[in-house]
Amino acid sequence: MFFSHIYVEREAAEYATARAILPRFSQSVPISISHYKDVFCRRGQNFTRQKRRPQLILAVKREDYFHRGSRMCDGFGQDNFIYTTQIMNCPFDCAYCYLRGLYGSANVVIFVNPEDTLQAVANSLPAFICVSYDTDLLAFEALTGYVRRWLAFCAARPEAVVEIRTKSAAFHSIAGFDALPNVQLAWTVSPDSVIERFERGTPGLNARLADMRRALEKGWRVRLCVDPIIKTRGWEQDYRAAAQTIRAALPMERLLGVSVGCFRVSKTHYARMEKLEPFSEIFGYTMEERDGTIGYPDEAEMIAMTRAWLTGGAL
Amino acid sequence: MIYFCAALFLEARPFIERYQLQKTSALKNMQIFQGPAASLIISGAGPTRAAAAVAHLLTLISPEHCPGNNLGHLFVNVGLAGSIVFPQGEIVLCHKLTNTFTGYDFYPEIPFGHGFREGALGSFGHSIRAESLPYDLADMEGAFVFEAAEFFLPLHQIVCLKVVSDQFAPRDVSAETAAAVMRRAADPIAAWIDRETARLDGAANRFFFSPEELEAMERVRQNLFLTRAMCLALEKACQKAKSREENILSVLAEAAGSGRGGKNASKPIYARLMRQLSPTQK
Ligand code: SF4
Repeated sequence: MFFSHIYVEREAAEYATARAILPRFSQSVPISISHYKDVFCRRGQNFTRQKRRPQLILAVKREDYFHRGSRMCDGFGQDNFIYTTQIMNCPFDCAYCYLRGLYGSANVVIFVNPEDTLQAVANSLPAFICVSYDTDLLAFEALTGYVRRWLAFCAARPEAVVEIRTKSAAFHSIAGFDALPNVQLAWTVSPDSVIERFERGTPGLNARLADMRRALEKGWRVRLCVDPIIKTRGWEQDYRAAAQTIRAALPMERLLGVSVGCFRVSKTHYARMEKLEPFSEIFGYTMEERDGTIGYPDEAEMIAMTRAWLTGGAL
Repeated sequence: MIYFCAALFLEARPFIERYQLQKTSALKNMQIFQGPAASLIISGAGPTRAAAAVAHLLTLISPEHCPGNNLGHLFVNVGLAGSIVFPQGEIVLCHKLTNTFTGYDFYPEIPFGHGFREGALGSFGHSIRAESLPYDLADMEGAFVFEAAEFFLPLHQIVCLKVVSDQFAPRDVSAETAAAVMRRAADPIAAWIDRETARLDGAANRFFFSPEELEAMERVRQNLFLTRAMCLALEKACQKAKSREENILSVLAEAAGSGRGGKNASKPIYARLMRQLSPTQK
């Protein structure tokens, strides 16, 4: 991970997290700012261009320590489903990522006061908490140590159930911790053809599966997410083959669950995303709007087929 | 197209010569020079003139109407600045610009691998003489120019390059010395600008459709008497079909070949073409 410039809120510079992160980028140019939005929310930014060489912004989170889950996310039937945003943006670059529609900037914002978020969540328990939202928290673990903080939080609070979703192969950064019954590690996987074309910078399928296996062996509760399924020419063959690879690599019966979903985003985000990469195959297929969400018209069949392949059913 | 904005003639002169610009018009205190690759305006100092000059230049020679469809353009504010951090003659790329009237800070996108020193610039409405300032550099237009240029161009196409002339005491430097400092800095600045615009042009001209595909679309347009709306729909359908790695050339050629029977006869051919271009996997 390299950032040529690091924008540091004056207030953020005082925090221990900032003091730990800054020396690791001694080659980067530090620029002092008043508020992260002065940089992150500038008009006229080009997300795709920035994504090639993102900069880092260190900021203090002053409000909205957590949010209620959106209806587009799987809250796994939990009533108090909340998510936190301790980092905005992600080290990976998935062409279908909704962050492209959500943010005007591809720069990474790390909020340096995770303790305030933890405190706010502690006051709102019991809850199911997605902590790797709007980012890939585990992929940043070596830099921030935020996942370890959540593990310590959960160890002391059984009424908190935390999901850490990732596409990384960074399980090693928490491998020294004992498995916790109220922490779910969720890996999103895709066929290698999709990874190569649309998930720039992410580890391949086998690397993710190897991490999942290691986590299961260590007793962690592990969820498999084949979500989003991306339609491409010949997607069926690719997903069928990936399902076979997954079944061969994982003891499926030991998984906490398998989530399957198709590419879907809000109408506003879809329009912005398509504008950024109009020639991508992601946007080459017929889409349909349902209640403000854009998705494939045949998503139910796609999900059913993928589920069957994952469970070894014929179809 | 490269757009230059400089406050003084002595700051602009090396670029007028290098890019062989000709004077094309003059407002009061605001001269414009143009050439095939660059345009330049001399704004005069201070916030009002800076904003007026930028708006005038970018409206007169609008990036949207220049070749490259707004993508390959670069707007450069070049000029002298005072500094006690950097020595005389140093070229500094400004990574933070402060409008000292309003207190607003502006953060340009930093071009990758530019090779210059970087610093924070404070822009004042008057000439300043100071022992120290909370900025690496001080001038009389940079932040104002940037603020105005932001209305016309994306952030990554606006840069502010300052050449250090004095230590926050501009009157101590003669016009000859200032001109010499600027002349020496002009070569490395222009060399970088040429590289950067070539890079931006390259990115802008990575066309999606091949010349053959564009020609086939044009033949379809003519032979099927397409309206503008139909053309746009056809282009979008071709874009999506090509993104799915389908061979659009053959279906376009077939449609163009069968469409010479007048407007009414063309309608079903157009409808069939659009069906052929739409995805088979629904
Ligand atoms: S890993 Fe997730 S958050 Fe990161 S770019 Fe991909 S989809 Fe977006």
